[in-house]
Amino acid sequence: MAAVIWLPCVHFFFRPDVSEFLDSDGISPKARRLSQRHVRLWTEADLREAALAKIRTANAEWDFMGRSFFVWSLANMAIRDEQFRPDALRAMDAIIDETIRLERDEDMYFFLMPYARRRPWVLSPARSQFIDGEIALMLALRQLVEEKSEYKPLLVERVRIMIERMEKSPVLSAESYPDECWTFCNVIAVSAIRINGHLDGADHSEFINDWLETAKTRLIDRKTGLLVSSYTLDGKHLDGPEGSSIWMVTHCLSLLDEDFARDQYKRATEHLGRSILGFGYAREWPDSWTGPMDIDSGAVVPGMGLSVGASGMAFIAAATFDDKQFYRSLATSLEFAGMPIEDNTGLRYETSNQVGDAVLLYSMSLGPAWQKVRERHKP
Amino acid sequence: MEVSLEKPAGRKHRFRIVSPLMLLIPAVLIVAGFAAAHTAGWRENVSLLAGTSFSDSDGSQRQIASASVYVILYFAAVIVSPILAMASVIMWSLQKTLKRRKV
Repeated sequence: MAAVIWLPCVHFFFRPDVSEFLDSDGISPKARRLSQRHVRLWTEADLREAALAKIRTANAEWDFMGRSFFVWSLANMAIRDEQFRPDALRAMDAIIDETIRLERDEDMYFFLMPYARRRPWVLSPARSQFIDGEIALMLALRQLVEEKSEYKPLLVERVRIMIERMEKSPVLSAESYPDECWTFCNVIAVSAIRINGHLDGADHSEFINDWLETAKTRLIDRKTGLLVSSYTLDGKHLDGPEGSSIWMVTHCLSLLDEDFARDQYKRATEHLGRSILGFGYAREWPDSWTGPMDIDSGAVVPGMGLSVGASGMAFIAAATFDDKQFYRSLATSLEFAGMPIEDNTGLRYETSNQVGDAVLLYSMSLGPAWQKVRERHKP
Repeated sequence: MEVSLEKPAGRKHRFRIVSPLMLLIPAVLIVAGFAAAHTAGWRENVSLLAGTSFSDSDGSQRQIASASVYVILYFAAVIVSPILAMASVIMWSLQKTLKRRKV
């Protein structure tokens, strides 16, 4: 009887006010405090070395994605708050410069998981869309905040290479790993292409429309109507719809095709979004698909299918589609299981890591960059 | 709560298997353990379980063990402890009510 009384009440003690996380105009209090330590991390060399050494021992992809999501967050925060802009630009440039330097000096495998070397790439020369797409989006958003002449040719060249490689595939996609294309990486690449078009006036609309049409016809899982997460270069599906992938995909689609994005979000919440006793979470796989627990999903709770990675990414989609109810239920879980610590260095969640924090920060700050691009393209 | 167990010989034994105090003591111990772990700063080590840490800790086995104990105590203190405490209060109230009826 005590359990029946207590368990439905627990969430009341952790349920936050959504305005702590999301602010329609400025930077929300949580976003400001969460970014504080990361800005220091990227502007103080000794702190950065220590933190990166630790995250790289766990996973090279996390290092890279932590950088990407943090830069994308800072871009949105810089648009939201002009006073924060100088600090944001300084940190963004430090990350972009160092990431491009590492890609050049160490090669792309520096940011890829070891299986990238296990078999040959189909497209030649070997490049990863995971790296190209995310760096292109970093550069594009940096330029969207404020143009920097050194970055312009870097962005234009990367966009050219991405389009050239994607056009070689019947599903207009490039490999992230050998003969392994990811919807996540390709939709990020297409978003960067779209922003680049917005910045320099280049018309990529035909390519983007073709990509969307191909995705709708060739990359949809029949049972759920959701986009699959990975496929071969010729379009053979590998993994089905995946929580750690689809939420970010819906966010990027919202820049490219709002109706398609909304439809995918609706389906994703139906098949992957869950709430138990006031605690929201996301599953990694829908009921119709059995998939493994991997580095993307993070830990998966058996029975519930709760995935830490998917739940983190769900924040981004909930914020994109202004689904405050789902966002609040996810935030309730975060406050309960995230074990937040606030001190003079800012806010951090102890059960999260650099990527997790950057993804959360992105969910709290996203909006203005997409809005800026959309406004220019309105008829 | 009292449970009656009847032996084959027919003699009736009454065993008090759970009492309000027996529920309250572990509830208090869990909260005390959690408070001690929290005060000791073990929460800071939990980031080691997430694969990274921004602190200066070296990721030693001892820190990982303390982080694991902290996580168990945290969830026990938030979920199990209140249930035990509440059950203790409910049981105590029921026993009091039953005693009053007997009188």
